[in-house]
Amino acid sequence: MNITVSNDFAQMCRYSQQTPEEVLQSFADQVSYPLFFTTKDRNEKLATYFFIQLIQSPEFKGQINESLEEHYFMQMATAINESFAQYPGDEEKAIAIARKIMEQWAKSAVAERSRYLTDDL
Amino acid sequence: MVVLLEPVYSRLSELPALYYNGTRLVMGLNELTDVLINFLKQMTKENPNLLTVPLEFKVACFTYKISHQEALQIFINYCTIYHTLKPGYTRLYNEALETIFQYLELKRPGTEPVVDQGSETQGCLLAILEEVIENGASASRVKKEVAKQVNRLIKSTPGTYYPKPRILYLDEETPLELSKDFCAMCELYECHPAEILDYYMSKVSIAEMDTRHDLKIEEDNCSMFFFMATVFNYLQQHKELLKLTDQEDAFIQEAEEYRLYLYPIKNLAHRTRLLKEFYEEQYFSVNPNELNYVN
Repeated sequence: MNITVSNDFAQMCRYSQQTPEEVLQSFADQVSYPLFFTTKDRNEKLATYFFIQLIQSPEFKGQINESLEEHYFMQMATAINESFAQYPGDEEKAIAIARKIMEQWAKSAVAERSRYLTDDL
Repeated sequence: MVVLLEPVYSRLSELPALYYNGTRLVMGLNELTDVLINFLKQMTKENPNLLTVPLEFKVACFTYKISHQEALQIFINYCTIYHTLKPGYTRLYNEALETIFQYLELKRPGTEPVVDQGSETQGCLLAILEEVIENGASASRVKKEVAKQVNRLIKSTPGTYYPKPRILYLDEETPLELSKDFCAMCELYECHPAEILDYYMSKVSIAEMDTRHDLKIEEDNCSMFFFMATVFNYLQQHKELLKLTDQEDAFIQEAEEYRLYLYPIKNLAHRTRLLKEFYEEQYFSVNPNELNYVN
């Protein structure tokens, strides 16, 4: 990975005595839909809020398959609710189940994209 | 319905006693309040010159710091006979008229938003329209002529469809002045001013507007467009309102965060409902008294 570190960011890292890698690592650890939908701690949601804000903004460059998105969000919500109903208060279990759905989602998103590409040929 | 309220002094535990058609009902204070509120609601329903402002419209006005009175008055002032005759598009005037026509279409589907043929007023208005098109008369001249006809119409009609004097009330202390043009339109289109204003208010929903924006679904609500555009103008004229208090600032941030939180929900109606409830909660936290009047 190769990213340009802005002057502002570099200075903030310097004064707080962290490397940019460390800051980005702790950010990356918390960008997670499973965590976002399971945790009650608002601070743990912030990184994912940033991500959602990014994909929702008009400047967003990527492409999202919206029907897949809707489908898997529904699945995840149902699974998390069921997990909490079965094991009240157990966030770990709910996160684990949500992660499995994320995996399927990522797989079908890739499959969908390649299908689109081959159809185009 | 005869309701007689009589304090019973002999036993303090039975403070208020209520007589309904001769039957004495004893009830606690809470139930009594409920009965009175229902009674007042019935009264307001029976009085067509008293407008009931729906909660969503209150929330919208509260959010943009404009009074209900001001927002409705602006709408009334933009409804003019001149612009129903004028060909072409005039920003805001057309949106206000479109709201009226939408309501008429809803009330009497299929009929033209024009009164029965042959009536005198209709004839006058058509004559003016012809003048606009054929003679290319100047706008000010046409406006003058329209105003003259509107005056004549107001004088000659009994005012079946609008209140006399031309005032509606939001409550005892908040009058809403109905312009001559607005009353003339009500007379021509055979509907009460309150019907049109009720319809306008029912079309204003910032929850739906924001949700449509977030879901990137196109907005086709001319009433909402009118509301936002006029509120924007209003805030430009009252720049002091643009300074936010700490609480308002916090509200905006909370709302923005909540809108991101709703991202996974893709159904317009569902998402609108959740956002609406959120806005209402914010509204009630500042106006706790309003809670008594809901339902």
